[in-house]
Amino acid sequence: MHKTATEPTAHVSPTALRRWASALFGTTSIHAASIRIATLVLIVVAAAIVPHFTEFGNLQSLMYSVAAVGIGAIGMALVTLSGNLFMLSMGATAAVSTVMFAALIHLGLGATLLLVVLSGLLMGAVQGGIIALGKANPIITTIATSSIIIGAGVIFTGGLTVIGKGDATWLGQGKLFGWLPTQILVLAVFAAIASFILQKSRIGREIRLLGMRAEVARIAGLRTMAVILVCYAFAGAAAALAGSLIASSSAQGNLTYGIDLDFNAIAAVLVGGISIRGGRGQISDAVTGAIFLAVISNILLVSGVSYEYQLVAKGIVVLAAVVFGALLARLGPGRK
Amino acid sequence: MLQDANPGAEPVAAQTLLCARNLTKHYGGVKALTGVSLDLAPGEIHALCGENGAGKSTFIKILGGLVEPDDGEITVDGHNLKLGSRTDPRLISIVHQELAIVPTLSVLDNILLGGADQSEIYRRSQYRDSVREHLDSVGLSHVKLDAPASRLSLAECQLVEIARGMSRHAKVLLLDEPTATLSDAEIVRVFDVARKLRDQGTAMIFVSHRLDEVFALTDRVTVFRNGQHVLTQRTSDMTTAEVVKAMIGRELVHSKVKPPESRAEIAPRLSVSNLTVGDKVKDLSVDVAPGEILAVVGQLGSGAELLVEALAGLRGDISNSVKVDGQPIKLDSIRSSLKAGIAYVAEDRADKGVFLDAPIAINITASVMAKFSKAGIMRRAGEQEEARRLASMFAIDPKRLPHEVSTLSGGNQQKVSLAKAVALAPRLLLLNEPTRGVDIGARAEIYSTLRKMADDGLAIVFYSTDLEEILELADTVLTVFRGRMVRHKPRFEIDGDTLLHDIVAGDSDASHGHVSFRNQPAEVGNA
Amino acid sequence: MDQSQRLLNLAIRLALLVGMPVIFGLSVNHYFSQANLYAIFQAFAFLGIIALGLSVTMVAGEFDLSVAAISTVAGLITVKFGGDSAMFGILYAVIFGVVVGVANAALLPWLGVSSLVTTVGSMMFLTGVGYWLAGGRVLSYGNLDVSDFLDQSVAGIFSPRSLITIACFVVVSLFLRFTTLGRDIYASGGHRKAAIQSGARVGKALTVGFVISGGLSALGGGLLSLSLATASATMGSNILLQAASAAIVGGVALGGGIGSPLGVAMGVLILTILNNGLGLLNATSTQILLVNGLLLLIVVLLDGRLGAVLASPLERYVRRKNATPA
Repeated sequence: MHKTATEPTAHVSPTALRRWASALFGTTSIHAASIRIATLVLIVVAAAIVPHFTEFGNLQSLMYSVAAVGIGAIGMALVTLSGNLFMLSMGATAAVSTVMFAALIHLGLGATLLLVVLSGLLMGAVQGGIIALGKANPIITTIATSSIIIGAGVIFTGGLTVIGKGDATWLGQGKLFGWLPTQILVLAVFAAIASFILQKSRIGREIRLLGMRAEVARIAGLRTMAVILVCYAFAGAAAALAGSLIASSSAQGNLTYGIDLDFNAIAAVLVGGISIRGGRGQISDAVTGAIFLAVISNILLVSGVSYEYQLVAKGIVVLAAVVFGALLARLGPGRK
Repeated sequence: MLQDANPGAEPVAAQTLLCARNLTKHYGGVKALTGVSLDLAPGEIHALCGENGAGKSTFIKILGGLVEPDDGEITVDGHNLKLGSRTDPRLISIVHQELAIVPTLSVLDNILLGGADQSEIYRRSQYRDSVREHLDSVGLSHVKLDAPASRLSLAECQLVEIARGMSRHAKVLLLDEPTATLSDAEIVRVFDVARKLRDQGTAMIFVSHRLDEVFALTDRVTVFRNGQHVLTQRTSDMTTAEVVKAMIGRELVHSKVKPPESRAEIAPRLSVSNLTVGDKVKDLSVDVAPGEILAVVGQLGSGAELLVEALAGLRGDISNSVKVDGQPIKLDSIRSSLKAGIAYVAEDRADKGVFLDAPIAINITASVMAKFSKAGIMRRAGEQEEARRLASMFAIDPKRLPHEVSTLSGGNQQKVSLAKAVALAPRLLLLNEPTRGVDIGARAEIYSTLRKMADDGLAIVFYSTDLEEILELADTVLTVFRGRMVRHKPRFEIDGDTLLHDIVAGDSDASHGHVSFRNQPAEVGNA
Repeated sequence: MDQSQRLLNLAIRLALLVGMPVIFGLSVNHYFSQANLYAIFQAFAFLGIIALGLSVTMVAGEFDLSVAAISTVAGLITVKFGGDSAMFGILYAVIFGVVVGVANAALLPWLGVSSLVTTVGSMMFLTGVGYWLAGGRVLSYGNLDVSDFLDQSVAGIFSPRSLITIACFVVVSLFLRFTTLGRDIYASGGHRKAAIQSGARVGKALTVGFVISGGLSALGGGLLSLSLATASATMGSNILLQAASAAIVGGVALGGGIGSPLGVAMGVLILTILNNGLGLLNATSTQILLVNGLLLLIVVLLDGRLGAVLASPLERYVRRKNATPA
């Protein structure tokens, strides 16, 4: 009376292969693994053939460019994983944060960081609340809040650069062991925290499940509102932290600094292999994506390619990554 | 025209309008259709019957060109159809069970949507008269052509769909459960329309669960079971019982079930008084004892399913007085339902029941994460143990726990969905079509687990359209018709025919008017 | 029921359209002067054409985030390659816009994601292209006669540019209303699954929608650059926000299937009148930006919450069936 069902082996890959892949690449997603390999290959090849790439100054500059974008990408990743696509107000939040950072730095680096990140968290939480409670379209909402945030920033600064009267050199120029920028340390710690939350905490699991199937999550009684609030709050905090990093290098804040964080973070997330549909992907994917794009930009920069071409190249890479990901999804075990 | 000119003759069509031969479609390991054939003569009304999962919807999708079969061919009016690409609506038009109405468009636009023979320049005025005619003939003369479809009731939408089918002037018109949301009067209208089309030479396939309608309207009937063609006979040569037997594969065995011990003294686990859900369920009251398994039964559109959904907190439009273990509870949200100790298993596991891309263990504990988290951090050890315990309860191989649910068969996926709900240690378990699309082996395992849990005191309420399931699992059966309770009997007092009638043939009480279309002229019904 | 909701929205829009000029007229001298009305319609010329294009994709159930980037690059193309003939410059720009539209639509069935994602990608790509074309400078267009021609006063308050925009509104309106493809666009947005199931040509409808969006954005950007006789990579960066606001204020639903060019025109007028009035009241561009942001926020909330609350039973049924993340 019911159709005969056998056990369809949709996944041919045996457990052993997956465990091995997981150990080697830290991921079982083909997209993410490919990007990791590609990044490594890119670095090796660049070191070999691109002149000036391996110079100390260049590697330093590369690392600094990764730090802020990497942090932004981590924040964006949580929003994407929760199924809300993207947050388009991260750039505005970062820009305003640079101004806030400069304005508060006289209180000392620690206190300033705390206050700025907290305000970013609040800004994010408000947006999350609007989206969750108001059932408002997440992308359009963040487009709107983006201009509100910038507007508020302009009113505060009058459009001028804010020069900080304090010492931010530990963050701005500090290096551990003489070569590792403290900003990379901050990135690593932030990534570790985010990863911990995502992998080990209850809310982290709810984030993934909500991103996978919102309807199932709702019926199962998951805390959907709390999840959205947390994701956006975290992303806001990430943007604020990224802005702080940017501001710290000169202890100055300006509304043009970090304004392109949206694009860079989205690019990193997409290239890194985090699924647009939500639910699948890891923090390390976002970081890898950021590194990959930073390396490409750096190679172009060090080879004398102008800024415009760099942008075009980045755009092409992002589109290619999205298409690549889509192809993989189609060829893989067809679900849904 | 195929009339009962020769009652004893073999049902071979004189000229064939549609000839579907040897259609086969396998989805991975699942055989949706195997070597199925069907013929239609012009002016024939042909019924297609079969249970859920028998292959009817796959067959329909192939005819419509939405699905490409692995094998087989279809010819309509001499044209060989290109399978897998959208069928020319002038050859075959389908009135789907899932409403294909766009609420933001006007009624007129909806009817004309997707039609062939329309030039790029869209002058609505040239179609208004004919569309008006079609609407009038299905009983929608009160509906304005330019009214937005969002203002129509579901029944009116169904009629608009039928009108659309008519307006396509197709050679073959396929109606998939067209009467589910309709009142008797509306059904009579639809039958009139069908007969008029028949007289004009249109051939129709009438897919329905409602055997009394099948016997009132159709010339021949085809039954599918398990993706295979079982029989094609003249309707007048069959009885209801024979059709049912063909649909489910064997006689309905009225096993003697011993009456359960009297539960009169035990306080009810669930107590529902005067429950109203929107305008679909009216004033329903029922009690369910601990350890009792209640089946809620009714046709599509009767409101039976809504009772279960309402108890799960899925409906916002209810007014009620519901008590669990004597305590009144609110049912305004899923959360409040869960808090009251009610767990719900949805009918569509892929969309609502399980996270296909997540591991089984994660799925099972999804609703009870709070139990295993300390300060927000998940404690894996306790969680794994619980997942294993529940998995073994439902005979899920514990070695598969870290694998994604999508790697399981339908039956095992359903078990995961059930385990997820049972993890809540609920006082009341609600099931919506508990074993839809599940193979026999897994069904048996599920039933025995449910029975065991009931014996341990769990109250279970389930909605099902599966005859066997109801007879197998239920202690008590509640029949709903038009939103009201019409029968509430212990299982052992129910005989299969009555139950079947309630599900597939409408209310057995003649006074509800189903007799009306049995008396139409030129009908070949079962007296 | 939703008829009354629509009437209410219409009434609010009309009230704003009449009320705001009255309020501004009382607060500002020479508000109703030809010069000021001309300024309003000049703003309408650019915002209108962009909002119109965007709204067609919204009606189809999608959202073209790349409209601003398309207009920017189109402006650069026009100035760069239209040296000898402005007509050819515009032609190249429009062809470019159409190609981008086709590409945006082509990715959709493939990727199976909302266009919100694909157009983010094209937006980023085109921003890069814009920087590349501009080469870091502001390009200028030599032939100022064209500029004068486009902006000359017609009937006191219009100009060829604003008239072109108005003409586009009329053409698109006729297209949506009186062609089967137009009907299919509405169907694709109203209930995508139903549209596919009933045989509407959804793929074609979406492609045409994005082509209109790309083409109009390009036309608008090209004309703007000619009018200003300059083009740069950062022109029109705010226009996305305003175009979205104008469309939604103009009655285009984010969910799709609802909206008309006439409504969009009203929305654009409301926004241009608002910004013009604020400017006359000496509001800074920042304050205007803030107001625009707040307006969009309010309007998005109304579209979400209020829409869900006021929806009819069938719409609620459809919304549940249509449940998607964005």
